[in-house]
Amino acid sequence: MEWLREEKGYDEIHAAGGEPREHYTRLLELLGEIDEADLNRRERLQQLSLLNQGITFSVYGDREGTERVFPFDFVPRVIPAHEWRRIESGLVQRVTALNLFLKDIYTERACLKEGILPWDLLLSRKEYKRELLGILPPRDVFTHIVGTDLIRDESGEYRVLEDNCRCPSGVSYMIENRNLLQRSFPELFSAYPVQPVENYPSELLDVLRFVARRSDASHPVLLTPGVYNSAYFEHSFLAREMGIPLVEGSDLVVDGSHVFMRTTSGLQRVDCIYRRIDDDFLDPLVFNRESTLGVPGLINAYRAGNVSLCNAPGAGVADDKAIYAYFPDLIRFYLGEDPLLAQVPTYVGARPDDFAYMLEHLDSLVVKTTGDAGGYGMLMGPFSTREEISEYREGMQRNPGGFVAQSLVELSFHGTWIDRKFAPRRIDLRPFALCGDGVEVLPGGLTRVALKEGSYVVNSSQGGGSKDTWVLAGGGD
Amino acid sequence: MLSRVAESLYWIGRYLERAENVTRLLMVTTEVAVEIEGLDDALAQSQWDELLAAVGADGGPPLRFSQETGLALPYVRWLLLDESNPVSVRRSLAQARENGRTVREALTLEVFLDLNESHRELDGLNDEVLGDPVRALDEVGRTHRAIRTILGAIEQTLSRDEGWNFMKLGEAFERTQRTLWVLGTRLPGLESLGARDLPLFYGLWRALLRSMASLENYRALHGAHLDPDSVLRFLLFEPTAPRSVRCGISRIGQYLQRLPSGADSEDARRIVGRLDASLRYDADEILANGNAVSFCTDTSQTIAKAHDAVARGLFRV
Repeated sequence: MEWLREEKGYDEIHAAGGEPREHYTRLLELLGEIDEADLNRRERLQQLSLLNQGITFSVYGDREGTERVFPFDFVPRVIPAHEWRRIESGLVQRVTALNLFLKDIYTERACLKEGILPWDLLLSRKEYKRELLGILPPRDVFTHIVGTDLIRDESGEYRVLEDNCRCPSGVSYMIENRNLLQRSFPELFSAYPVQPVENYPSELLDVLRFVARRSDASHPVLLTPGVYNSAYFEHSFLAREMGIPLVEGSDLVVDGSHVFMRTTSGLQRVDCIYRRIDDDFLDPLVFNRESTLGVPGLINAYRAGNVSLCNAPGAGVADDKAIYAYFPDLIRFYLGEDPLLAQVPTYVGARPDDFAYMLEHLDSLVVKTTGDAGGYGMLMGPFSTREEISEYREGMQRNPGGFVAQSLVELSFHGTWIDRKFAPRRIDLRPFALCGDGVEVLPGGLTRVALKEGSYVVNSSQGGGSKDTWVLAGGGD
Repeated sequence: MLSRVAESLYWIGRYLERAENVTRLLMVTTEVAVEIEGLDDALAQSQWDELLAAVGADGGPPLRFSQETGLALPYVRWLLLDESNPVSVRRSLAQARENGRTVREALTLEVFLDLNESHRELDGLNDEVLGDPVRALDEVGRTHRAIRTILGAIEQTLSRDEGWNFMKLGEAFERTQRTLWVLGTRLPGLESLGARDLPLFYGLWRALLRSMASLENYRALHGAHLDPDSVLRFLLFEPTAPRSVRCGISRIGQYLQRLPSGADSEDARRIVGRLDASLRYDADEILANGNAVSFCTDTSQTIAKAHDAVARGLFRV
């Protein structure tokens, strides 16, 4: 079977000369032994299995397809042990620094006093919750579950695109992808020492118990916005795998600064909540008053030290776009070492030199406003007209501090079974780190793939799919 | 256990029982109506009217028994597939599955898979299939097997914990009500038919037993001879018959007894306890009045009160 290639970007499978990289050689041989009809048959079975098991995500406002399967591509992404060791140590360093940073900005604020991060930049972040100043979560852990998105540049170097310190999702698909591939292509696993990923829920439960207020007799719960949330399958999956109750806001009630759940035997105390609801919806008394998803009084119970929240409220500020630009310096400040993982070079409008560079190179940069999310107020320089650029430039000059810019990054590509061919499609990688008694990085992650030809968009809501991600054990490089 | 989860499990039990009941009643009524049609068209039509009343679907569009096909395709469509019919099998399975999705952590993989698959298969059926009488009946039979598969998975894999207890409580409520509703709607017709046409008369009593999955059980106890009084006593008071009213009330009582301490179920227990005693000891008095129909109606209302008491005490903490 033919493997098509792409001109731009790093080829995950093939080396420059066209021969497969060493860790892909055997995989390509094994796939080559399966004929086309069989590949298609197995792909159909995978699809059916996902539907029957209800491994779906919800799409808002789409009556016909309210539940959709997250497309799965059976060609696994293989990461050799030596590459993984670099990623792993880089993530341990990063997650450690993220937590030190969060502790610092909610207490001492040394990074501001030492001039590592400008005051006004931090204070203008919406996710920086001044209501929570001075409150330390149990064991000083702010962000317990971190999903950091990595991409590979044209030289093949892994770079951090962004951190997700709020409610990163995708881990359930990572585990189900492995189950699915093991059932439908068992022979592929025979030739590779693939590290298992199924232990994640148990490690997550350990973290929840570690930070619970009564860690010896704790019964954590998972708080979901409900069945209409796009990540509901994952909430249900994790609660089931951990064997803990899946609760909605209306199942919980705060009385006398303690949190209780409504059970058939009356109210029962809750001391640790893995919440999959954003800060703003957690507690209508403190944050968004309109929220019906949250629990009135929850933040008060948290302040009183009667309940742990994972991730801690206020942790979201650590993955802000502008703070990202300062993160290499923050790692040096807190840990006294250089960052192990590169980032995408980012220019911050608040720095005069950066701003001058941004203005000169608008036609080659991607410019984002720091306050907005979801691609709003963005300028894609290489794809914009001269008029759009000059209009955008005027807006920037009125408020330099409100903008950051990055070069357009090329994503690596990976062979993907599309229309009876192995076609090149762009991918990224979201590994998952847990922070409790130390930082653990799960050997694997969610590889998302942009299924549309030429696309850079890997999001599930916009034509993205995923792959099983194999991290090979020590001897397998 | 969370009250919300308990309530969802209770409703899964009810919806599955409802889906099973409606499918079985549909199968039996189809066969009976085909048999009667030609002999007595008005009687055949009344079989369908009674069925709609017994499953609570009589508020729907006016339906007529289709003499062209010799089969009851409009009824099959309305009761099996119609999404605007709140008691159609498709709606019940969709509801059971939707409840299952919200409390999946309380189910085993086997239960969820069977629930999800049967829902998806029924959802994929179209009017073309139901336009063909033979295929339509095939689908009703297949749906019935699919529902029994889910019930089997529940029986085989679910832990006998509080959640199971709530599911079974819902099932027992629904089943007991169904028996009362079926008796309440079928008895007047049977009585008015009297001994006017003996073969038809016995055929309908046999169908009544079959529609309660009780024909073999009845025969094992009383032999092949169908005596209307024995059949009625069997369906109301026989303690070993899983669909008798007495058995249902006794099961509801047992599940209420097994609720965790601290659960507020006193009102429900009192209502069910009285009913249980009456069914055990007052059988002759109940039948002596000669008004089994009003007994069925009254008892059904009492059971609805017990359900309300459960919902008040346990689901809305």
